[in-house]
Amino acid sequence: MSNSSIERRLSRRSVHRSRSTAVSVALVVLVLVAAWIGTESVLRAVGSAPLLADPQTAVDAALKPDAAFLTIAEVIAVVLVVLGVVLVVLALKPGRQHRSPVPHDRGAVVIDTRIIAATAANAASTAAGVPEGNTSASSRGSSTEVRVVPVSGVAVDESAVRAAVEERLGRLDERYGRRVKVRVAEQGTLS
Amino acid sequence: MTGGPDVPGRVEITARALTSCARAVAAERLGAPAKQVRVGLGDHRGSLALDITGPIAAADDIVGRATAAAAEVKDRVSALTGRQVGSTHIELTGIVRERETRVR
Repeated sequence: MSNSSIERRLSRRSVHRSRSTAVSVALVVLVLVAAWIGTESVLRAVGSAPLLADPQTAVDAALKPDAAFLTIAEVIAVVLVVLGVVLVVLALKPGRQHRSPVPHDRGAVVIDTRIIAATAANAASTAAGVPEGNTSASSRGSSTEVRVVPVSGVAVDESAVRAAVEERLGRLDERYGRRVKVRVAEQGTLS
Repeated sequence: MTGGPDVPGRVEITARALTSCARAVAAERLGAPAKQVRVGLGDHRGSLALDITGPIAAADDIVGRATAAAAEVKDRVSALTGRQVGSTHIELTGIVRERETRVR
């Protein structure tokens, strides 16, 4: 990892998605609702006609709903529940983007995760002795999965492939070499 | 196929070359001209699968000869190409006599 705190922060900001958009939207909605309630209260205190609905009648309607209002209330409730779930998920998930930090002695280096996957696929194809097109890999966080389609008649040593991939990824950062999964396809291809 | 980590590069044998090789070997072992022998290549759980169609040289025990030829072709192709041969399937289409046409 990078040494200084600013570099750590930079790479963290690059790897994780910002939550500012969701926060802004939620706050704007909150401000609008609060402003509306405030306006209605002031209008009622002054004694003039309400803007949209009198808060007291709105609460009464919500507490003692008639049949027509019940469906509207249900729809609103469902929409609010969905919005709430979306917000909770946005807040709790790490919001990782397809980038990975790589330690470097100068500055914060962040690379696309596809580069890690391609590196793993390349190492696997060299170790297994198959053409580059026969291997594919996907990487997420610090775990990498490599798929190898063997060439017919040439056995693929799964543990050797895993060792090679772990070694190559370990050169980027020791975190990437730890969780490597290798899958060798049952069926091979001719050359 | 690679020559180990010290040798860069890779040796690839095309399917066509493998087919020609298997065809020559099969023709030799069956005692039939290579023109009349057809070979299809496939994959059998990661090993090479050979599918040979062609005539066999006239003999007393044709089935025994064909079975022996299958085993021989398997070993020989495996030795020549460096690939594991998993299964060999031989389909006989006829008999080749020593001298089919009259010498004119």
